[in-house]
Amino acid sequence: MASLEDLDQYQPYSLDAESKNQILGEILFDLEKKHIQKCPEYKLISKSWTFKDADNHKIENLPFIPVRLFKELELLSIDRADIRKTLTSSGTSGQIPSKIFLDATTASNQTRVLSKILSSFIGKKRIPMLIIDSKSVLKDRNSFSARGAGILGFSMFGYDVQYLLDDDFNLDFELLESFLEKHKGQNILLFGFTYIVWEFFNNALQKKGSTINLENGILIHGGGWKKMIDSAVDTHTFRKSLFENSKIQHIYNYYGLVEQTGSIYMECEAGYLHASNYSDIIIRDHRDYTITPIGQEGIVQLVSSLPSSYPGHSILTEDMGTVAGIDDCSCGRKGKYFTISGRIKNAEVRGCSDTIQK
Amino acid sequence: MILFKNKTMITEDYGLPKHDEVEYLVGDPSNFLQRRVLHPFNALTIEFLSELSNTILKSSIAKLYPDVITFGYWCRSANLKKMKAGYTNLDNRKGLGTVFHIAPSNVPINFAFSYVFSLLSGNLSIVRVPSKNFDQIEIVSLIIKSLFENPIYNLIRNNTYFIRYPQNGTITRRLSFISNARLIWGSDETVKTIKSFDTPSRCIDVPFSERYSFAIIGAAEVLDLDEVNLKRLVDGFFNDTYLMDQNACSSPQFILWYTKDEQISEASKAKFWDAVNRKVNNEYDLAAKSSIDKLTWMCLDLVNRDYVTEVKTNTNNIYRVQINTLPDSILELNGKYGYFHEYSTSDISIIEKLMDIKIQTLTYFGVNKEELYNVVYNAGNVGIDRIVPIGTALDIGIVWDGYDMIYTLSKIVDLK
Repeated sequence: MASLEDLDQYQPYSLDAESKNQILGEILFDLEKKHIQKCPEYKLISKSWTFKDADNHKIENLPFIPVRLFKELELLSIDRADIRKTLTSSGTSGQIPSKIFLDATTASNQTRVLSKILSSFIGKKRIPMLIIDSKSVLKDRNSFSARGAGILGFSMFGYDVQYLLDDDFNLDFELLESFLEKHKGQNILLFGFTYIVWEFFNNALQKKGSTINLENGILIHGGGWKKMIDSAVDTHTFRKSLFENSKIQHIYNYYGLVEQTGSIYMECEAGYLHASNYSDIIIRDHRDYTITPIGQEGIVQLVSSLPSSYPGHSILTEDMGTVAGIDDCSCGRKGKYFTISGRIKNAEVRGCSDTIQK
Repeated sequence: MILFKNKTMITEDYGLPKHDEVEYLVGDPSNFLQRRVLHPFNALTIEFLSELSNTILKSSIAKLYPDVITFGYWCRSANLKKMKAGYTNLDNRKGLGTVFHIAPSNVPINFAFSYVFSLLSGNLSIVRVPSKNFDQIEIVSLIIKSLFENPIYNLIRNNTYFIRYPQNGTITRRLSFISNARLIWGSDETVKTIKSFDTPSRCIDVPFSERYSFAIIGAAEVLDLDEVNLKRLVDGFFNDTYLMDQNACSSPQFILWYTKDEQISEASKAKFWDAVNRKVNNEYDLAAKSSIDKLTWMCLDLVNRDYVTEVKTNTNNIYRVQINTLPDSILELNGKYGYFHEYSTSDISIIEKLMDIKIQTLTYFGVNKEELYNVVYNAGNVGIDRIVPIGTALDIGIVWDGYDMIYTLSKIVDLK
């Protein structure tokens, strides 16, 4: 029987498809068994699942539950007494947030795996860190939004951690300047949500006519890109503008779900998001949920070895993406590499149920 | 408030919105002062509608839109005369006055039907068309506008206003204030909002709100169908459901299989759904969002409803939720984009238990319609306004949602 410890023996992007499918597959099917035993709701779904073929131990044959279920149902595979943390999705305003229940094991696995993935990009040594967000995001220590959880997760990789935005999301220039003075010559880690980095950091610097020098900076950003698509800022513009305003060159995007915190997908030097050993991406054709060939866009399904306190090991997202290849990215990392093209579009629904108001 | 009584009393505030307030697709607010209440099925209206029908049916652009053609065909003079003949005495009737239509936002052609119902009853119409620029609205509006260039139709022109404006409580409020009747197509929420706006005390509201519909199919009769008739049934079913994303009020969401023999039922269902599947695979374009919606409902049905035994999904285009007990209210058995709940019964009178005021249409195939009518008509509860063959669920008519439009939108001048 395989376990997470088996994966921990390897560098996070070192397994080729065959070995990965074997080890990750075993872990995922163990999780599947556990969730069927412990989560009655999941059992009802899993036992009636029809989108599979006869081969029971292919990862593709795991049920993929729509991510929206975590908004509609409270799904957990542990006793409520064992809940350590509850994560909630940031969600679009006015919507019910997702609720993700973590026990101690899942929470610590998330941290460990995030650390393995991240250190393969920025090294194991802690470096001074700036968070491009407001401290107010972390008010309640027991219940975190996706943003809060992300900040807490990532801030373990830095020291002298400072928050760059005040409660009203104004950039604290004085803090920034004195921080850079203090850590002159050192690498500096910056972390923030894409949209917030853009709006409240980059645009604030630009407005001020900044002379900030972050050439030693490493920026990790993710999430909130739905808003970025709305404001029509692409990766290229994002990087270029940030370079102009702060001289920062090392910028890494990441993709992930609050429902699978920890096993994130980092963007490589070649501009592709990468699946680590701990998780994988499957692209499905929405018409019949078959798996699309490499290079063809479809709905993104994500499997992760981490969720053991809730049945989130295999989730159908509402994002569209395309797998670009497996094991052969020019950056040298093994595993699937892919791009995300955005949210699934809202359907133009016919019929009379939905109508104009007022 | 004095309305319609003395034209000079109608100040600008109580008149129609000006050109800079709303877009007029048809009509000019300055003609409003010359409006006249007319008689149901008056000769001029029939003449106008048959010319409208001819023009639509001859138009090469209209031909691209089956719904516009259906509308054009509906307005032909033979159909109107047949309709008129169905009324024994309309001689003492005249229109109610100003009818304000809030057309549904997602069914492009219904604004036109709504207008014609009102016109045929002798009324002036202010039709708020959907804010979305459906081609169908443009086409019908342009044709009507061109007909109005002929002065013989001045009376009708003065009674016809198609307007478009974005969500705006002020305009709707003002128009409600001068309405003698309102036809409100929309969700319950929309109807509630519109109803909250003041109207003259004699104004009547006809709400076409959210409804629910289901179908009954005789299993043995399906099994007996030859290829041609099976195709006819399936084409009809497709039109009732997938054509409108199963989202029209009269699209069935629940299928009641009528059978004395469970074995026949299984074979019959297999035959029917296989044929539906072939049709849908070829002709229905399932959106990714709709696909995820259906998967989500499936999970929720499996988790939340203990009477759900199985969800059949041989392809993603058709989800068939099998239930072994009927819930207290079938309204919770809902679905769109090809998501059906199925239940078998050997007893037609079970329909009585399913009736709810929200239920509009019962479509049938292979079941004796008089038997259905007897159950529905004699049931002591409300619900079910239409019992129509599968394939005609969406056919809108002068009787709709249980209301006869002519009687509802006209009044009697009683002479003794």
